[in-house]
Amino acid sequence: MKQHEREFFISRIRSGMYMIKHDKITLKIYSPTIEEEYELNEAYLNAYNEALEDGIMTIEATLDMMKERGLWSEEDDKHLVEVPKAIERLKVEAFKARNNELKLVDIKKYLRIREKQLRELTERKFSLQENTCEGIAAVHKSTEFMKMCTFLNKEVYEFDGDMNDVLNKYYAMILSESTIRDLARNEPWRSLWIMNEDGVFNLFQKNDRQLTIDQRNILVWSKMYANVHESAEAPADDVIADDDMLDGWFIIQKEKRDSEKAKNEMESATTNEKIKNAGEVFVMAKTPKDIERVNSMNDINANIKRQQRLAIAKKQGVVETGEFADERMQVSQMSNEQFKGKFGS
Amino acid sequence: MSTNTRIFYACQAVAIANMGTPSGNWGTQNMIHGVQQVGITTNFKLEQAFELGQIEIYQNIEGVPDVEVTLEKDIDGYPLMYLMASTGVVGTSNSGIVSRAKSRCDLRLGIFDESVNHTAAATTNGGAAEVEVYCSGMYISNLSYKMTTDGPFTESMTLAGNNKQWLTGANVFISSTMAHVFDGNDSPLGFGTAASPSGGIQVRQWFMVNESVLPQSIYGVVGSGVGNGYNAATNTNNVHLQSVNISTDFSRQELLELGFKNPYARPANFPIEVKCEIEAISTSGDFVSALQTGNPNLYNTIGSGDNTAQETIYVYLKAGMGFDLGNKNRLSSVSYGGGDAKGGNVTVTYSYSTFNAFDVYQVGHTSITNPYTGV
Repeated sequence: MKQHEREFFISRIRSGMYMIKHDKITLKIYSPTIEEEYELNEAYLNAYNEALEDGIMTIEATLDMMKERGLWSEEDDKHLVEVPKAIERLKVEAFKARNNELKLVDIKKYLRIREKQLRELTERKFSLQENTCEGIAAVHKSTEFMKMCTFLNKEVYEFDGDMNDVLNKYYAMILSESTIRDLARNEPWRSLWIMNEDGVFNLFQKNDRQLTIDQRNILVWSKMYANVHESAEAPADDVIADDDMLDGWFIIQKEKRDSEKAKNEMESATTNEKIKNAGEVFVMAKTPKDIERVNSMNDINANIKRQQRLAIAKKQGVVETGEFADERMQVSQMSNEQFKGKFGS
Repeated sequence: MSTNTRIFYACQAVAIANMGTPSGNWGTQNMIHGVQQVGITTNFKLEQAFELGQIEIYQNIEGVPDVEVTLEKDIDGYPLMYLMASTGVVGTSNSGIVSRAKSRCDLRLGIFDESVNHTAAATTNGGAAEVEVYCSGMYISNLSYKMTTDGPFTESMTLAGNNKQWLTGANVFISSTMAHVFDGNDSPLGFGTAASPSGGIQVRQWFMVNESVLPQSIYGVVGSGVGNGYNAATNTNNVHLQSVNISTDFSRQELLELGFKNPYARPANFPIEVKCEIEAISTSGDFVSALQTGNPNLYNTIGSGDNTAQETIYVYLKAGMGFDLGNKNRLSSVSYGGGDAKGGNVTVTYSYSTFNAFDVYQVGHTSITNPYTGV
């Protein structure tokens, strides 16, 4: 993004409004006040209930109908779970390939393909959404929002016809996540964010209204980047500047945290020192979620060992004590240590 | 040498049987209920031989791997692991620690298909365990029972041996039938059956003070009979117990012989000390004297001149379990603590020890009558 574009977007975000040209006039759209937001949510609820009473299907029922007619399948549901996981794995791979540019380029190609796949799947799943109770209610809420928050010369604008043009233009102006992230980590916003820590000025124009979607997003990402910079294991600047690699770093950090948390929970629940200090700990797991939690307690090395052992056991049928590769390596290390001890002192 | 990195496995079934039980004889009766965790430590031993003339190793002589398995389960009315590991030891004359110390068992840990909610729903490997860790010829090496006011009562048992295998496919013993024990409806045994007078998972209210025998050195205990910690007239306890921990270590010794690598036996190192730690909230003090002339109350007994007497300890739980430490327990220490400036309660911890006397009774599992309750 060019610098003048960043400056434009930041000034728009700070102003808390969107200017839209419509029928040779310029309308200003603000975010709702807290009271107006309450009214909008009530409008959503009423529209939803009315649609339900009129026999309109909910998203859930529409999905069932789509499955019956072969428009959506269990297999698609499975894909919708698998594809985001594949995207996460690719992002982790992208972070790991941070010093290998060629590999990174390849990973990013796969990543874009997977993202496209996810977009298409999501669009297909919710293709009939606008005809559901939720879709009708959402359209009604948007219409009410336009009526409440669109101004012309400081007066609420009275739409005398179709407001779809304004509505579409408004939604098109909401910035994408990648644009927001770019704005959050670059000038002019970065300086504003740092100076704001002293509270000497307001980041956004005060208008007693709720934060706009862009304002909310840029605050979230600014805090996120500040936390990344403050982290003890902060990644390099080129990683921070690359959304894919940074997402990979986030995923790795989260997995580490989850693993530590699960391990700590297990240790605090175990009073038996022998089990706590055992080389192999078998934790009773009842559900697939329990199994996932137990498996997440393993760090990378332990996880590799676990997977290798299970694979060898499945391949061989019977594996005796000391036959696993990690056990052989352990014995070899022990031999080296003893050898060093013999001649080292 | 233990491993540097711990490996966590999601394990879904544990079974135990007498050593050498053939495949066809393993059944649902061998499944352990209420298991919380299992830890396995395998230690490899290595001895390096050198020779004159070269600096390199002449030979690495690998010793017998040492396998130690520690299991922990909630006490829940189902058979205790200690009894399962020494199944077949019954009868009044040979049910104690001496005969159980000789028993050996086989242990199997089943890892099932990761996508199922309970083992009964598994379909991989015909519904049997997908992967099984098999430890054979295990000896009971350590045992402890923890009963506290906080949380379920637990049994911890450590088994020691020298054989461990990983099995898959047709080699596993935990069959689909055995796996069906955990079908989503498995729950602790309930009240009411003669074979199992259980209160489900045993927690503080199921410690039957009125059917237990507590040492008289605990301040507040009245007399030496069954229920000496309980006042039947007021339906209250004479002592306010916080925890009772019973533990014993068999201290196994490896006996080797020419012709075989593995030890031919790992007998317990007698005498086996059995410890019992009882913590109670103090109402006035521990009232345990330590005098050069001994406790005057013992002058006319065989303990004349001693400060502590031989005492009986017997603990009974609603699940029909009796822990009998015999009648020769001696107070080895008493500690008085708590009562800090923040208003904490004063607690007294009495530690007792005895030797070679420890028996566990369980209605429906041991066909013996215990000497205190007559059950």
